[in-house]
Amino acid sequence: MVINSSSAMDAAGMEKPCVPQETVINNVLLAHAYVPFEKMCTTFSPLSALRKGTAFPPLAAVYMWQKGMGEMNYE
Amino acid sequence: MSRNELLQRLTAVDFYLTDLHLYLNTHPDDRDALTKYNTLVKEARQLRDEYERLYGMLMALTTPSKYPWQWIENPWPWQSEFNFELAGDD
Repeated sequence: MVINSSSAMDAAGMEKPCVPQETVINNVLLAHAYVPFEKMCTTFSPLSALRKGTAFPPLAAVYMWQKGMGEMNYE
Repeated sequence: MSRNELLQRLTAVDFYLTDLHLYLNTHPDDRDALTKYNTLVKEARQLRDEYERLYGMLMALTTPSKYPWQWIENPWPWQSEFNFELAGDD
C-alpha cells in the first residue's frame, strides 16, 4: 500500500483520535455488580451432583455438559 | 458394595461435601446445610474406612497399611484403570 506523504502528515497532525470516544457524561457512579444471595432449597443427590458439577440446581445450567465435548481427538 | 460402587459413592459424597463446604463459608448460619454437611462427613468417613479395609489405601499419609507396604500396589489413584466410568448423561 502506497501512502501519500502529505495526507499521512495531515492525519498525524489531526486532533481527532482514531478510536471514537464516548460522549462525556458528568456525575456518573462506577458500575456496581449485584449477584442475588444464594439460598439453599433442594440439592441434587451426591452422584447427580458429581455428574452436573454442582450440588445446587440453580447453578447447574452454567456447568451443563454438552454432547461432543468428550469426543475431542488429542492425537 | 463392589470396589467401583464404593469408590463412586465416596467420590460423589466428597464432591457434594466440597460444594456444601463452599456454601457454608458464605452461609455459616444455615442449619439445614450444616446438618446435611455433618451427616455426609460421617458417611464419607465410613465409606473411606470401608474402602481402605477392603481394597487398600486411598491416601499415603492418612491410611494405615497392612504388610507389606500397600501404597506401591497398582493401579495408582490417578491412573484411569483405578477409576470408575460415570455412565449416562443424567
